[in-house]
Amino acid sequence: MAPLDLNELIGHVLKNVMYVVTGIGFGFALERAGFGNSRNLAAQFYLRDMRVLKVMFTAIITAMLLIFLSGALGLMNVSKIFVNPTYLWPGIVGGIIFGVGFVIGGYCPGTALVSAATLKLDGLFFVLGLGLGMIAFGETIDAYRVFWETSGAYGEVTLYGLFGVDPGVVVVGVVIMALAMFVGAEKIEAYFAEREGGRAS
Amino acid sequence: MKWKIGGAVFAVLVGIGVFFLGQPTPDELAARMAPDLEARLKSREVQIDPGELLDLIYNDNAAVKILDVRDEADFNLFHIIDAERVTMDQARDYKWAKSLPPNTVLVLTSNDEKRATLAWRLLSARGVANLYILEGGINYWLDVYGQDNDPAAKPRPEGDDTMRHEFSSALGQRRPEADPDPHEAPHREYEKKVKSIGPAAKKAGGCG
Repeated sequence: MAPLDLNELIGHVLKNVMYVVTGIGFGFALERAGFGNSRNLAAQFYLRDMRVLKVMFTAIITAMLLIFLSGALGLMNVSKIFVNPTYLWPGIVGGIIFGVGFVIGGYCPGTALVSAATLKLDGLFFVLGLGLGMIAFGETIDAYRVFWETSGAYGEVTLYGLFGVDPGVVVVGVVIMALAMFVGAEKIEAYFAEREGGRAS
Repeated sequence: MKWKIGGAVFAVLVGIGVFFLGQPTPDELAARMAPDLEARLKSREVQIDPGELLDLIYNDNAAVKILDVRDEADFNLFHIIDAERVTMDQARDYKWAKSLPPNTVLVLTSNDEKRATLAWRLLSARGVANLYILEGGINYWLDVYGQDNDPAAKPRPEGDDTMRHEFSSALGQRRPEADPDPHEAPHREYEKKVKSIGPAAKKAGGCG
């Protein structure tokens, strides 16, 4: 029953090879979707191009449906999947820093690596900044370790646990929400395309 | 446009399918996992030697947590250093199981192995990883590291889980055998069973 112990199944070396191949495949898919171009990514924040929202939510509902369908069919023990524990306040602070960096730089860490892989200068500089930020964080964490590791610690939080409902209810709800967002995103894109088309003519 | 509508309909149908199928309960999961869990128990790949536990306790690069599933009276009489007493109700509680620390080796102890084995089955079915059982339980630990240690003692996996050692007072972990000095304690050759779970936060020492 999944999740499988890859170390036991194929050994340490092959497992790492699989990670690298998966990473390359993921990076390739991001690049082909246009996520290696900061203009496409930054356009999300100006509501001109909603592909980030659409791709991310498609990934979320695809993974969610596969996980919970596998669980329901007895192919996977869902409780064995690691869920990041929630640290609310550090999450909010980190989210703000991440968001500001995303708007200014036009990349998130993964897409910056995709961009750097295709030798785009802005991507390379973003990765350099990312590295410096990680070093700065690592070197200064002792000053705010208590805040970072304890504030707003809620443990493992899931939507179905929070609302006390069956996971199936959340699955259907998230799918409907995502579909509604896709429709809304397309309408927003069409609105701005029409407005800017009119302005150009 | 057609494929978008098709994809949306497919996602909704799968979602409704998941809703009606429902997720298995912990007991159903345990039943499904039973063959695999029993095979692991039978091969004794999760029962670790007292020597391995002692080495883990004194390994600054490994995080270890001892979960003692005995009743309160036995726990108060004696327990291994820093052990936490855990009731079987806790072991059945999904939320409690999920609160256990990740990247930590968890070792269950009972007087012999029966109760710890039952807790291992429950917690494993609830997705708890890096979970082991102290071979021979507290009785064997005391056979090995107790003041009247018996080098010829053998673990008794089929023991009835009652305390075989006598104590004049309930000193818990304040007894010397609760925290044997690894340099003074009898050296043990054992088969290493705890799998590496990657780097853990250092408990002490180191520079920088």
